[in-house]
Amino acid sequence: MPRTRATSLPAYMRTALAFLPRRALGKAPQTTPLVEPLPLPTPQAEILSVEPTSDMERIVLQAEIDELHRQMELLSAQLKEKQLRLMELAGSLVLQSSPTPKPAAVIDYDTPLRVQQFPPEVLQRILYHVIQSDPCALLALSQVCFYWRTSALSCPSLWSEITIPIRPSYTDGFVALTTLSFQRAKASSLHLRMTYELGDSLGLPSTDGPDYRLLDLALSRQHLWAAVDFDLRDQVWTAAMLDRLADGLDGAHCPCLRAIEWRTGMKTSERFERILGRLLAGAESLERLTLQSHVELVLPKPIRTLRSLTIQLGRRPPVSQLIPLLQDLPSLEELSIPALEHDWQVPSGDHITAPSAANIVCLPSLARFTFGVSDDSGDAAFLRHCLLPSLRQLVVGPTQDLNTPMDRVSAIAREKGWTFDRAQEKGFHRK
Amino acid sequence: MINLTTSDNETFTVDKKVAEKSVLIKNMLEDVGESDQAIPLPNVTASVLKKVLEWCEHHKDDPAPPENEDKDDTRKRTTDISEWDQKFIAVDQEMLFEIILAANYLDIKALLDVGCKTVANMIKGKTPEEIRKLFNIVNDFTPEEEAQIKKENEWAEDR
Repeated sequence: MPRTRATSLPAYMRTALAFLPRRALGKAPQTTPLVEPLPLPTPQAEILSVEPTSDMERIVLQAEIDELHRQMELLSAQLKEKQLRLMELAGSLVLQSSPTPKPAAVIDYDTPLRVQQFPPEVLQRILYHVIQSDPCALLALSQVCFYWRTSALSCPSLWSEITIPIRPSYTDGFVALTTLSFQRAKASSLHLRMTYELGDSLGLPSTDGPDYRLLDLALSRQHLWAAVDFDLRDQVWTAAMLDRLADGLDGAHCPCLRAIEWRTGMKTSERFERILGRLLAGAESLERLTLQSHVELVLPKPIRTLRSLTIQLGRRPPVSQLIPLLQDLPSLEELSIPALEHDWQVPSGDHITAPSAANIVCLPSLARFTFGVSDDSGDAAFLRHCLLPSLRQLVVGPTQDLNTPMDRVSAIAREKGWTFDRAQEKGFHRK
Repeated sequence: MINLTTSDNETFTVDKKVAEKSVLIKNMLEDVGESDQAIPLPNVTASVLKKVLEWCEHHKDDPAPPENEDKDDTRKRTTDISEWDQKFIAVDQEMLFEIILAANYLDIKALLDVGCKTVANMIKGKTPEEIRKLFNIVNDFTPEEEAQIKKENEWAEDR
């Protein structure tokens, strides 16, 4: 169709076209213009006297629009092509500008590929997987060659898992090596293990008293603790160390602490209560708490960040302690508790009456609940007090006696819309 | 379907879902949009890409890994490798290393982990000298570094 000059268009259309960018009209400005120079402002009378658009003019406009669409598609295809080319060139540029004489990312297909050609981050990933199963291997890995050593030393997080055995004394070599680990971990988040050691090889306490060097070193880095795993015992020779630990701890100095694993045996100890209390006091970011000890279930203050709680006490946790504890953990998503000690006052027939408000436990995010059933009636009463809108599955603990009656607990689970499963050692078996 | 061209100019046509196991390709597709043009992969040869795509095909329905890996959770990861992955990665050392580099380039973290865990399992329990022999690595430490290493080893023995 021959293109008609736009002068034949009504004035209002010519004005509108004049405001379109010329590039959008698909013509360079020096070529035949589609429109005349912009007319002077149209007098009101002329606008009012505009004639209806003819069919021909409509066809012309449609043709212009189609032409614009076609050109836009063409430009879009060209843009995609250029972007692909740009990515290809950018990739080549990165490879060519790598500072190493033989960049690891470039594969030389003529010579066999060697582990030395891995980029540092890949080698560090490999080292990380090795130390997952053998933390002591890191020293050997850093002694293979210059490249491996540089890769290991330049990744502080590889050195951040540090174990401090609780002993009467330490050799200078052990202190030097542990100090080196702290230094190499730099400011990365620490995963600290403090482990009570048994055995004749521990040696006798120095005549100068307990050796606090490593404990003090760990305490001086408590602002970097991200996870602590304490396996401690309160004995005559550890008492001074535990007191030092309790005195040096200030929860407010552990702002990064996200996980605590607490194993202190079956013996009750005021020292342990002090240490745990201080850890929890300032644990403002704590997400995971595992208690495998004989400790009182008392929190110094609510922990609103806690998502996972596992309790495996050496005794049954009393409901009178458990309820206030859970009320202070509103963000729990996973909860695992053993069989309960029903030391609370449950009104007779409570399982069929409304639960008392003061004892209601509301955990809106709880999605996984593993529970030890021992007293069908008491446990059912406890569950009746639990408001768990996100829970879909109540899991009975794996050590549960299969003959324990669970009729009332099952009824409560059905009433609340929870499936009722039995935990296996691995996975779960639908009952 | 997506076309991928390797460094040796072989083109593979794969399902978009399979190709998008690679974060690099996924991002390219998001940036460029649907296109008939092949995506160039200048760092991957056809033989390696074939293996990588075999892995992607098998794992195409796996849930996506979390965007920001939780550090504490990653500590809990083991060096276990699934049975299928073990068979998949039972290749010669050369191909294993090429798969690792390709997974790193293509940003396929799960495949990279399979490769790295396999190398980690080869390293486990070995002395530095044994590791050097295994991977044909030259001991290039300076005398000063050797002295520092010797001191570290003395400390390690003095437990």
